[in-house]
Amino acid sequence: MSDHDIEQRLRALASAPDDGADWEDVLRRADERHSVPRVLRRRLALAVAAALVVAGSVLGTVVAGGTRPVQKILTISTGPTAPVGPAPFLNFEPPNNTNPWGDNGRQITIDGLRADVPQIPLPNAPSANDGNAGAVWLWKDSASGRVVAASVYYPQAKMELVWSSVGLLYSYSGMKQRTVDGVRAILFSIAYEGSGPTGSPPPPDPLVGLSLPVGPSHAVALDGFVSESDLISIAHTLSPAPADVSPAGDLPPADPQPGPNVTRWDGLLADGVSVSSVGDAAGSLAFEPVVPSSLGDPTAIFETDPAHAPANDRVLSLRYDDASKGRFWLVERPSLSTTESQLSEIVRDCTRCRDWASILALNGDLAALKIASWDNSVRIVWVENGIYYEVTGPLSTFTEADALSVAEAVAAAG
Amino acid sequence: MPATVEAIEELYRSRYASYRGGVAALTGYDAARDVVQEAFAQALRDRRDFRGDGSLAAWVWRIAFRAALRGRAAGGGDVPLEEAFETATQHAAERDPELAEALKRLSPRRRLVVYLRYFADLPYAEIASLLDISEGTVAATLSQAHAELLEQLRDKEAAAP
Repeated sequence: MSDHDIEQRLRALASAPDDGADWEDVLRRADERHSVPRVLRRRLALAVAAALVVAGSVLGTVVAGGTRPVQKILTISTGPTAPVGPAPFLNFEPPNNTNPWGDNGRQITIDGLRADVPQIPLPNAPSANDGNAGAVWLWKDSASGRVVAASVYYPQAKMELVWSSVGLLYSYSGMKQRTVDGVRAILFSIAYEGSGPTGSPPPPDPLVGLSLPVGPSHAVALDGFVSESDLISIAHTLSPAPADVSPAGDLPPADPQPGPNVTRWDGLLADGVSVSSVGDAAGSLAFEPVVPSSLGDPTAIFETDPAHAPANDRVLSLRYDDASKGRFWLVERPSLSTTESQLSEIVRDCTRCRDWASILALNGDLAALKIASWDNSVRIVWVENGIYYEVTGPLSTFTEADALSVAEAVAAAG
Repeated sequence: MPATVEAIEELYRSRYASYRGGVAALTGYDAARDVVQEAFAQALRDRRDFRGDGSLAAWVWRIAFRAALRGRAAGGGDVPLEEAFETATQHAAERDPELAEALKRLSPRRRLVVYLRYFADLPYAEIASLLDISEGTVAATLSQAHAELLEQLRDKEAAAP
C-alpha cells in the first residue's frame, strides 16, 4: 500500500453520497430567517398585485441596477391592445425616501416634477402635499427623453405615489373597484409578511394600494400603511385630477363595469382596434409581425389604436380558436428594453418565483419564460430579433404543452 | 459579482456531502446537516455580499465553518472534538472500517486537516486560511497524516491472519 492508495481510499471515503441533501429545506430556511427573501416575497406580492391591477397579457420586466440591491420590478404591462413598454409600478420596499429606480432614478424637487411632467396627479391633502413631500425620484429614458416613471414619498402620510406608463385592467379577482371622482380605480390590500432589511419587525397594518388610470396609457398608484379610507381621501385631492389628465386626448373609463373575475379571453382592452388582416396592421407597427401559417388563420386580429400610441408602443395581438388547443393568443410588440437575460433573471434571482415561473428552451436553444399565472392561464414569453412575443391562453383548454408547441412554431418562424 | 441562486444551488447539489463531511469533523455527523443547511440558507440570503474574489465554494465553506465553530462555542463546546470526530466517522466506518478506525487514532489536528482536505474538499490555501497556518504546514500535516495512516493500515495487514 502506498501513499497514493491512502489518498484514494480517503477520497472514496469522503465522496460517498449523502441522502441528507434537501435544497427545498435550504430555501425555506433562507425564506424564514431573513429579510431579503421576504422583501422579495413582498416585492412579488406587490408586483403580482400591481400586475393584477394592470394585468393584461404581456409580461414586462424592468431591471434597474444601482447602488442599492438590484431591483426588479415585475409587472404585467398592458394587454394586447394597450400601450406597453417599461412598466415599473410599485416600489417593493416599504415606502421611504430611497431611490426606487436604481441607476435610472435621479432625484428632483417636487416643483421640478410638476414642471417636467405636469400630467402627473399629485395630492393636496393635509398629510400629503407639495409642501411636505419627501424625496422625489424621476426615471427618464436617456435615449428618448421619455419619462418612464416617477415616485414621491410623503413621510407624514407614510405613503408613496408612483406614476408609470401602464394601463389598468379591472378583471382580476381580489381587487376592489372604487370610483374616485369619476375614475374607475382599483384598491388592494396586502399584509406585509417580512421584517425589514435590518430585521425590524413587520408593520402591523397591511399595505394598502390604490391605482387610478391617467389617460389611456398611464396609471398612478398610492400605497402605504394607511387605511383604505384615508388613501381614498388623499386620492380625492389629486391635482390635476386623473379624470382631467389625458395626454393622448382620451379619458379613462368613468363608468366602472363589474367585469368577470378572469382574464377576458375573447376581447381585451379598451383602446385596441380590430383589423382585417395582419398585413393591414403591419403598416402601422414598428416591427414586422411573425405569423406562422402552421397555426392556421387567426379568428381575430387587434392592434393598438395608432391614434393612441406611438409606433414603438403598439402591439399586435392575434386570437386563435383551434379545434384541439382551444382559444389562445399570440401577442407581439417591439422588445424595447426587455432582454432575454432579464427574463431569465426573474427566475435566477428570485427563489420563490420558481413556484410559478421557469425558464425553458424553445426549439432547444431560445430561452423563454413560462409563467403559470394567477389567472389560471399559461404564458410563454420570449424575445427574439427585437420582438417581444407572448403566447397565452386559459389552462382550462390551452395546456402548457399546447403553449410550448405554439411558442416553438412562432420561434421557428421568427 | 453577487452569487446567483442557481450557482449556490448547483454548489449545494454537487458538494453537499463534502460540506457535511467537513463540518462533521467539528460538530458530529448529525449536527452537521443542520449547520450545512443553515450555511447554504445564509449564503442565499447574503449572496449579494459575495464579491467573486475567491471561489463560491470557499465562501460558503467559511460560512459553514464559522457556524460550526459558533455552535461549538455557544454550546460550551458541548460536542467534544473527539466525539465529533467519532460521530463523523460512524457513517464512513461502514464503508471502510479499517481506514475509519485509523482516522480516529490520528491526532485531532491531523484529523481535522484530513477532513478539511478530503471531506470538505478544500484546497491547501483554504485550509491554511481557515486554520491560520501556512500552506506548507498544511502539506506537511497531510503528509504526516498519510504516513501515519499508512503505517497503521500496514500494521493491521501484518497482524491479519
